[in-house]
Amino acid sequence: MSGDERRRRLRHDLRTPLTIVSGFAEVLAGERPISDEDRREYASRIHAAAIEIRELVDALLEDEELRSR
Amino acid sequence: MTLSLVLIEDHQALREGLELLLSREGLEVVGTAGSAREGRELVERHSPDVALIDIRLGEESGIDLTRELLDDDPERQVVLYTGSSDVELLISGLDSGARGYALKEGTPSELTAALNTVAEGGTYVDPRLRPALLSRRATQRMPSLSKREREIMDLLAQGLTGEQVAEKLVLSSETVKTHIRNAMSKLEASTRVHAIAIALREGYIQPPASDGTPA
Repeated sequence: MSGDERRRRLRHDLRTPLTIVSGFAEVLAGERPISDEDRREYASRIHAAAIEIRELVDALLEDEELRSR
Repeated sequence: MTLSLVLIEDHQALREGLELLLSREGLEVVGTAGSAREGRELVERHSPDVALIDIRLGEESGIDLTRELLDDDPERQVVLYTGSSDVELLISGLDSGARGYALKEGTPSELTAALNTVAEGGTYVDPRLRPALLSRRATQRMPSLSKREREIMDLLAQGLTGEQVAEKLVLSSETVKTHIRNAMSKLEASTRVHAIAIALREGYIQPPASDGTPA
């Protein structure tokens, strides 16, 4: 995979876990009642997605750094 | 009536998350898949009201999967799901016959609305994509015919009737009629003959030889 293709894919891949974060955050912030069990489940999914986003951002930054050398 | 859905998304966490979120919105998720092959099997097995398909399924293409599903049965309803707002991808997606195009940055309630609209026979394009869709570049391009539509137009050009085409391709007459209707719509033709003329002019099919066989 070329450098450009890799960066394009990384940027694209960022949207997928962001969808998870915004989707569950919307539910948590909404007015419909949520059970404690569901609340914990949704929060843990947001947490897992946030870890994935951090890894993708790290990879992107590393890529940019290598590129600028 | 509860809308039934097959969800095809290669990212496991998003697939599971969407299943939870859409179930919470009142949809019945009858199956989920992470690859084109599994997704195709699920759609064939469950005949859902609508299939939600990620445009990129690992190394596979959700657009190709949509084309295959609609070639087999043009009555199927597909919403493509993507993180990309690339115009070319959007046009290819809509050319594939998908009735809906939803962005991953949309909310679960927007996605639910898109799925309901398409399941009821309507079309949906994420509002964020409308400026791109209305751009000159997008509107100048004529949608291409699917492989099945070209095959049927080719047989019609050879003089076969719709019934004969259905018999030859082992399809129902209704399916053939739907393919013809879709091809006419794509080619902006008012009659079958007009559609054949445009298909010939645009090079989608070859002129038949004098003995009736394709050139």
